[in-house]
Amino acid sequence: MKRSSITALIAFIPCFLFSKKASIDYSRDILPILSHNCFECHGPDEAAREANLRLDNSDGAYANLVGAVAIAPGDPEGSELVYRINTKDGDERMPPKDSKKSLTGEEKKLLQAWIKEGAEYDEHWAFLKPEKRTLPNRSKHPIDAFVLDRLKKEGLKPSEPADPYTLVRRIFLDLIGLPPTPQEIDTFVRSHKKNEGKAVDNLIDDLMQKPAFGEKWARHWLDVARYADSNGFEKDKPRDQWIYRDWVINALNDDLPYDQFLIEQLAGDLLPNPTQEQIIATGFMRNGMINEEGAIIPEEFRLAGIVDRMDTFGKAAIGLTLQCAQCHSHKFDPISHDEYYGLFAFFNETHEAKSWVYSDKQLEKIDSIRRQVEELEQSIRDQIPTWKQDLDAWKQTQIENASNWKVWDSSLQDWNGGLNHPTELQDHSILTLGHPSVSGFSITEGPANLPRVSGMRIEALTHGDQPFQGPGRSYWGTFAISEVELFLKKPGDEDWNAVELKSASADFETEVSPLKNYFKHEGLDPNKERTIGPAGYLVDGDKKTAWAPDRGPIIRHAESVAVITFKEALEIPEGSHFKVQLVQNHGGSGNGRENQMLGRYRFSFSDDADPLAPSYHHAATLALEKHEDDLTTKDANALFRAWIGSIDELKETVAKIAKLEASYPEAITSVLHTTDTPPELARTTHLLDRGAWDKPKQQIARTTPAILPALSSNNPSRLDLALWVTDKNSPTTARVQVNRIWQACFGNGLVATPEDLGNRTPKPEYLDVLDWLAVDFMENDWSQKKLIKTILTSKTYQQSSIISKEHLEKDLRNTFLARGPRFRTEAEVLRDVALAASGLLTQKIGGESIFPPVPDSVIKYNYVVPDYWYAATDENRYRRSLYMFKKRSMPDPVLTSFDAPNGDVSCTSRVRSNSPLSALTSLNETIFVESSQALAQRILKEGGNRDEERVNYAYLLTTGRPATDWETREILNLIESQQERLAEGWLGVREIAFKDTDNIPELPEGVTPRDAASWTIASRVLLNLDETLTKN
Amino acid sequence: MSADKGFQHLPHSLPTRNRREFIRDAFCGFGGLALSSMLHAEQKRNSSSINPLSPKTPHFQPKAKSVIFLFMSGGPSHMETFDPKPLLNKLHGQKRPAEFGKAEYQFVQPDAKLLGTKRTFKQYGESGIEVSDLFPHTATCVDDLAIIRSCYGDSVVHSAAEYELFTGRLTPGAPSMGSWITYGLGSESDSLPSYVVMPDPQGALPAGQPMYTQGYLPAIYQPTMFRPGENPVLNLDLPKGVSLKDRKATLDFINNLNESNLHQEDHEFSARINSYDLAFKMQTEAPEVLDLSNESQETLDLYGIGKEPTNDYGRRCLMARKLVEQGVRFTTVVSGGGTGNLMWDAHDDIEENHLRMAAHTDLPVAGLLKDLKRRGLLYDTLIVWGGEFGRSPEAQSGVGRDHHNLGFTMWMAGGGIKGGQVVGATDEIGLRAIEKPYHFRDIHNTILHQLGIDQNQLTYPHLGRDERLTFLEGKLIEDII
Repeated sequence: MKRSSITALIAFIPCFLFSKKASIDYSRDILPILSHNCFECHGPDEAAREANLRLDNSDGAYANLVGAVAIAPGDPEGSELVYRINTKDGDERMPPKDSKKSLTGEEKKLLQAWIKEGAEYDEHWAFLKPEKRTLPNRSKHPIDAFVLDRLKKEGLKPSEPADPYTLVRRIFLDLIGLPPTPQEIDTFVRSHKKNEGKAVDNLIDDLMQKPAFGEKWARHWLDVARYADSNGFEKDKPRDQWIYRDWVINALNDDLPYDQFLIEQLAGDLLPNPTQEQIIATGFMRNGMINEEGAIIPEEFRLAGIVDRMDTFGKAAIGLTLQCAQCHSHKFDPISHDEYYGLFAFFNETHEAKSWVYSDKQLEKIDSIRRQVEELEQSIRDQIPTWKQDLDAWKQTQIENASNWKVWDSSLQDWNGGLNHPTELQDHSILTLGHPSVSGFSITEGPANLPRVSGMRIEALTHGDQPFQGPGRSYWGTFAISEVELFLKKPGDEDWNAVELKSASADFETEVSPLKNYFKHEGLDPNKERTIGPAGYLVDGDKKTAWAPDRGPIIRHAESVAVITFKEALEIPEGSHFKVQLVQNHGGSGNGRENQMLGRYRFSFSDDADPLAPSYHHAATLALEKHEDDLTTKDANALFRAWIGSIDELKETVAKIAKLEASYPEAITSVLHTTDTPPELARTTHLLDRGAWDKPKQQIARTTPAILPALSSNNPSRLDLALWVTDKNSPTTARVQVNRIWQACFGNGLVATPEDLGNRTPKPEYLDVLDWLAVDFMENDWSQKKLIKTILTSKTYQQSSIISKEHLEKDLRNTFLARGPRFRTEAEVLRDVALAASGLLTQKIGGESIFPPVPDSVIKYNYVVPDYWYAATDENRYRRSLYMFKKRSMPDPVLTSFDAPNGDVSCTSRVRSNSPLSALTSLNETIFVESSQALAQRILKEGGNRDEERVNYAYLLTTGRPATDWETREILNLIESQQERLAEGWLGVREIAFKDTDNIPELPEGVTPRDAASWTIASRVLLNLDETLTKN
Repeated sequence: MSADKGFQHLPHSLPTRNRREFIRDAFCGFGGLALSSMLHAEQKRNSSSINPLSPKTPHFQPKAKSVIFLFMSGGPSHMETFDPKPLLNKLHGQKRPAEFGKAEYQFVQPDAKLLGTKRTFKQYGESGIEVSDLFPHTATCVDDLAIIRSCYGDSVVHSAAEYELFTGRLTPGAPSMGSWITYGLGSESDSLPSYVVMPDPQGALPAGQPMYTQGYLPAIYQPTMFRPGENPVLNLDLPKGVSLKDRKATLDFINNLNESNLHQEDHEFSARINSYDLAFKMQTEAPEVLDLSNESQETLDLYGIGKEPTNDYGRRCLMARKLVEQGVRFTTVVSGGGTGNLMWDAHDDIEENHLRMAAHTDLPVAGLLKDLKRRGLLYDTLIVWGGEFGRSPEAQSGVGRDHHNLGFTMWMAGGGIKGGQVVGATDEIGLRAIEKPYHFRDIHNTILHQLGIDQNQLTYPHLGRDERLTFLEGKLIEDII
């Protein structure tokens, strides 16, 4: 079997490899053979290199190694390689038997011919800067000039221009992803008659101004950005990330230059004074999955997330697949294992950040509050000219009077039942990530650190990996501690002995209030008895009460402290151990969504009599503990605030400030995004042995692969990386995006592997077109709209897509572009076409995702059933498919059947298939059924009174062209026969025609429900026509 | 031969690559299967048939045509089922002796004590293999089973382990083995999906649907889920008011109108026409498979249908047999779903959980084996039994057992498997596979091998690599084939 297929393959080769090529081209003809068969052992990977021979560059291949030369240019007989590939000796033959690779006769001939011609190595085409080649014909559109020239050489004739009906639908689908209305078709056809070029030009300009343009093109980028609305894995919690989708839509509508588009997504947070929009843009980095399954080691999956970011970066920005180099040096592309981790470092040394997002109005309000607060603070400085000295003196007093705290270095950090694995940081604080537990307790154990202990301090600290920096892990970044339990075990004790706690004080006293309904828990607290309030709740022996310091929007994301005193001071013999349990029973029942865990905490002990929490915010205490030189602006501000709070005469001003800050608004949504780690929490990057997360080796600094142009900065930041990627000298960036845009229009890219322009990718047939467009793209300030217009105004794009016999024989896949594009529309377009044709479509731009109707059996088949999934029944039901909530563990049955990707990983090109399940979907699925009903009513209402007119109108709505006489007769026959069957009672008139049989919509005069039913059947036919489902 | 002729009869899904790329990929491994099957298909099919799921010739002589995977989700204990450990009972209540080495667990604490089993083991069949009293019925088929006591995987959490068991990767996005096999072999049935998953009606699993799905393969290789409830296959039921006869008329009509299309030369066009034909066949014939009313009472009894607690799993096992009869390639019958204790995930009480789960499945599994055998179907139907991991020798919460991926048991039967034997072994307390350890990729490779597929030839070009099910190369479990 195998042999026969290989034989057959050989028969194929001449048609492809030798058809029109006079001489051998290294990167087109030779590199693919060498890279596939030889580079694994004789390529860039030094560790895997055999016999010290490398064949991926001329230095290596021509080298004289122990008397033999692998490749002697011009001398096949003198080349060891030629001998090795031809010998019958099993031990000497290359590639070796156990590699399971073998060369075909044609490949061998090619290699020999190439060596004879001089064995010239070119640099791989994609690593050379693109240049505009001279146009073969200056009077033509540049694309057409190259294409016509090539077609001539290939002996192919271009196709006729597409007729105006086909053309207008094609342009509509490509620019806005929606079909034209009969009126729009009519307008275009009329102006096309007068002036074809101008008509197309105007149409493109008009459509590009529509907000729907951004929606259509956002879909392509969201595939690349692996956008989804849930976290994936077992919990698959819903996430608020739609604001990132809005950002993409807006960026495309505003035609944000592509270089800027990339820079903001890779490093928007590092731009000077980044705007909220630029922070949202870095959501790109965070669209990947998050695992919060019970008991996972968070670091394992954080690193898996960084690998995913690398993968996305490689595919999206530079067009190289990097993942091979995660485990070993790349076998085919010259990216070493070290270089992989050099790039990895840019992405790794970041926080898993989440921030609030405010509306424009809210941002104004926040600004105004901040300004007013600053003015009040300034007024204090004006009022007290000696404020600096006074503040210093105050600080001195505080330091002298402060309780002595000794930070506890614990030896075990855990969560009950092992659901979480908290980790100790350098400053002995404890960080909890991973599983979001709605109830339970943290466990911390370790040797006592003082001979006598009278009190304990619990610091709630912020951290960049917590939502909004925490300090809690709840939806709001807050926390609630129901009870503190302290145990002591002295040497010789069998068991832990509870320490009796007396009182608790905190830097911020919360008023008593019932627990938010959001945290309701039917099992734990059926009668809603749980409350939150001051620190005293920590030691009141009642687990229904909790300490939950929440200062309100914005300022709640700050450190807090609680100080606990003991009933009696403890004498601690040497060798004693403490155990602290923070009981956290104030979460809800939503399987993790409604947890209220404390994200980062630290314990200290004191032997002071009756230690007390200072009355000012803990941020000031932390600042007091710092060396003067290390104070940040934030520290200085905290100290200033603490100081003014201590002065009686400033009471009024302080109250004013508090009042102002209490009026900060709650944000409209939030976004997962990226920030760099601060120096005190800096992450370092290590090479991971074979890519294993728990096998770090040597530390690696940030670098970019040597094969691409060098970075200009010595200690490069992520922003430097983004600038490097978008530098006009970067050879692949512009090509990658041009190719993807081309792919969106033509169905296939000029390079068939849009994610990979590396060594294994042969030189594309139309490298001249790709490069011309890439350079032009950069010259036009990276304008994507301009680029798209250039493509759409070419005659090449505007050709008819009908396949002639000649094409079928010579160029079935349309590699040489002798005809226009034709392919089944993408899942979202296909569904939107049905909605638009039927008139159901709601055109509303942006905002939260919507929940489409999904069968119960699909909803229930979730490990964590999405209790928030209420299918929209209002206008949202019919919004564009782009807005459908993308739940990773519940792939949408409609979109998946039409090959939409799931967003698990970055996807740069979709496959297209035609499965019976997809046919069943467009025939029977709810939205398609509702569309056919609505389409029928629309035809009856708007399509005129005569049946012939109606058929014509129906064809315009669905296929974008008038019906032929034959088609009209056929459809009318269908309607007539269905009318009879309906009349005879074979079919259910109301069930067929109406979504809600109890509320039948008003029908036009003279139209019966039976008409609506028979037209619904006809509409279903029309919505399932090949022409409707296809972009022709 | 004319080079282009082959392309007239392409399968539904064309790889989105140009022709030269395609040939390049062919040399790089992809074509090994895809292209050969295409050429083969070309010889075999007449010009009107372009069903992408029509059968494709394997790489070598196969021993099995179909696979039924009896997926015991949540991780059944090997020590309570097929891997007796007398020493474990002796050491009950003690800490694990240091010589057995370390293990990473999900929940079990370092100071946990070993937990002996309350199950008793007896020898069965001519082979005299020991099976626990959880499976008295399956035990009667033991001479058909090849019990692999030395399985291991890489993850100790459900979702990642489930992804690895089904797709060979720890994260979602890769195709499931059912999709790979459908891609490689097509289906013998022209009216049914070639890859079916029958989930437990109790609910879903931690890894969710992505573990079953086609990943980066085209959607024609997606699983068809036979969901619980009245409409097991999505969109198979006609819209309200429409009859099957009228549906046929509608489809004929669509095809009729399409035939006048200007694009008839386009293979995508023919593929579309064909997908509507298939859709109709599915609509008429799938319900027949779901209908068990033509089965004899004796057969129903064999599977435990009509009585509790075996009715549900029995029905699904019987449907699996009917699917095999229809030429469906890969059927997964899931036991367990919903919250942890509704799976084989016995954290709290191994006795309660496993007695219940075994009672649901033992008789149906034995019934399936016997029914297939007497119908001569076991000969070329490969049955695989197992979970995403086993369970810990240590106790969790007193009488439960934690997840455990270092050593556990799966078994295979039929499809050319040499039954009546045990291969591999865990250490004396069941902690670690120490003799002939087999990874999931080895299980995958053995399944592929029985189907006549070479793991290195069944590849698909994805993001610059020729991906395969086994990721790192899998070994063959030579002893059992």
